[in-house]
Amino acid sequence: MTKLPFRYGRIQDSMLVTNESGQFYFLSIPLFRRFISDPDMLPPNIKNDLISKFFLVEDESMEFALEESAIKLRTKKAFLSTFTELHIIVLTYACNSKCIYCHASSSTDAKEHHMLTMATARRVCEYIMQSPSTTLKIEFQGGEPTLEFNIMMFIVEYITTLNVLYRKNIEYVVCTNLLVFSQEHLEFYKKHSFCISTSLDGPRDIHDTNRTPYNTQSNYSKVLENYQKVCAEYSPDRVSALLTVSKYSLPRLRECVDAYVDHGFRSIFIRSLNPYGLAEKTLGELGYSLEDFLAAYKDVLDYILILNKEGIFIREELASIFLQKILTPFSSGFVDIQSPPGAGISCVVYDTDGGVYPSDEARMLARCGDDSFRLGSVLSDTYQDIFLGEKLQKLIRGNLVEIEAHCYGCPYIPYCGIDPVRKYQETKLNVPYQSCKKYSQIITLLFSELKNNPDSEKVFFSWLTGVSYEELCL
Amino acid sequence: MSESITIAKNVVSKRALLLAYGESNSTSSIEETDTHWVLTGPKEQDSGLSNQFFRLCMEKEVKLALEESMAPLREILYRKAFEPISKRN
Repeated sequence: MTKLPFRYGRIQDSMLVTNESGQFYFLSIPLFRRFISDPDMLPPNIKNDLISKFFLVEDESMEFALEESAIKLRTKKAFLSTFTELHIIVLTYACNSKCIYCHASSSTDAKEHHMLTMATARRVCEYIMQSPSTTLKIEFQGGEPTLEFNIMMFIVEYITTLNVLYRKNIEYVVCTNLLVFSQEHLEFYKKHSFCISTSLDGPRDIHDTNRTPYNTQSNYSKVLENYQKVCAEYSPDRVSALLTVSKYSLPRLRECVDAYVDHGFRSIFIRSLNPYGLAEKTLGELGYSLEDFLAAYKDVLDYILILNKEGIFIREELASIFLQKILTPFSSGFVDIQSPPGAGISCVVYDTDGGVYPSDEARMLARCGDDSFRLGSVLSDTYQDIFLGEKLQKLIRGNLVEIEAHCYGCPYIPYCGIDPVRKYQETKLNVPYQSCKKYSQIITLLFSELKNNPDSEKVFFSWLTGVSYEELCL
Repeated sequence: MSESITIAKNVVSKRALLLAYGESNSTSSIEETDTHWVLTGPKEQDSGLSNQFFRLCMEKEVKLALEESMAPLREILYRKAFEPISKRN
């Protein structure tokens, strides 16, 4: 009997073992010792479980076990075979909302408005179509991208024309605050099957404090009015929302979840503040400690689980990213938490000036005056210069959890990833490994639920499969 | 007063020591003699922290030994998963 490669770590009174493809098993401490020293002496049911999950193998089955494990590992890393799928285009830095934490350093000042020109947009489209990926997701960002709706329409039309030749599957996403919304917009979104990603920061008072209205009208009322219009005339499944947690919402996250449920949202992404843009400058005023965020996150996750068990479907997206990797053979598609990192190879950002960046955070950093991660420009560099260039390769090589010293032996390696820009920013701000602490504590929280609460496991499966909790309980 | 402890080099390897050092805040500096590591803790630290650090070193030593024993199989696994078929043994 031989042990296949695994990693381990303590979860409460048990030892969690995980393997390269993300399968996991809990062992009591005495059984873990036996697993290490003499696996043949494990109780038969446990030994069989460990064999079925490729932690142990009978010597005569070694070749089969390695082949199977390799297939599972390749499946987990399938995002590598497609190359860059997500292409983010920044249309403008102009915005009609003054969010107190704006990560994109958007501006309501006309003098600071940088927008994508038609000529640069055309070049961006030609770049995008050179991606070897057969499936593309094109996401429009800002500022507020709908303020440059004509450019968005031009890009979609030009991409459609180019695609007669390339024949790729193309999805579109617009990240909009939903303050500017017309019937023309709606028809356009419907025609091209857009997904709409918006922001809702909780109940009215929190939302309007975080996302200050530019005019006197409540931002909250307008967002919900337009959200209802999308649901009624398009589809509630095509719109999702993000909750950015400020110090105002941190103690009231349960109320924020209630607001989402009341307005018919089926998912909520609880996002802590990122140290970019205005948020970096106002972190002292708006921020909170990682410990406070994690305590609040744990509390609200408990609450979300209770709601689901009472029959109210509401999925937490950050947890779902990890759960997808823990409970299924697949990765999550979330480019900020994967290894090798998504930077450039899964996601790329085209800025208004034609600059190419490996992630949204990289262009946010550049907007703050630090263009360390700029890969080149669509106006002066070839696709090969950028995507096969040493700068991108070095970025990827230097940020693999599998070989990062800090991650050595960590059992969460199969579920985790390093965002190179975030790591750089954390080091610069002298808070190294903040993301590691955040992710590892959230993963620990999820494993604790899986270990202690079989009902929670059913809720998690309902989030991943769309099958209701009640059906899974039958 | 800050507390110092010495650990024989044949008990804890440099790699285990560094891994533990990276994870712990109970040690502020490490010095090396021919035969020992000399660890100094931050001022006014609880003397129990040195024991905790030593325990962490030993855990890292075990982890290193296990990781090393699995390295050849892990390499085969990654080759099988990602090398082009034409390059596999």
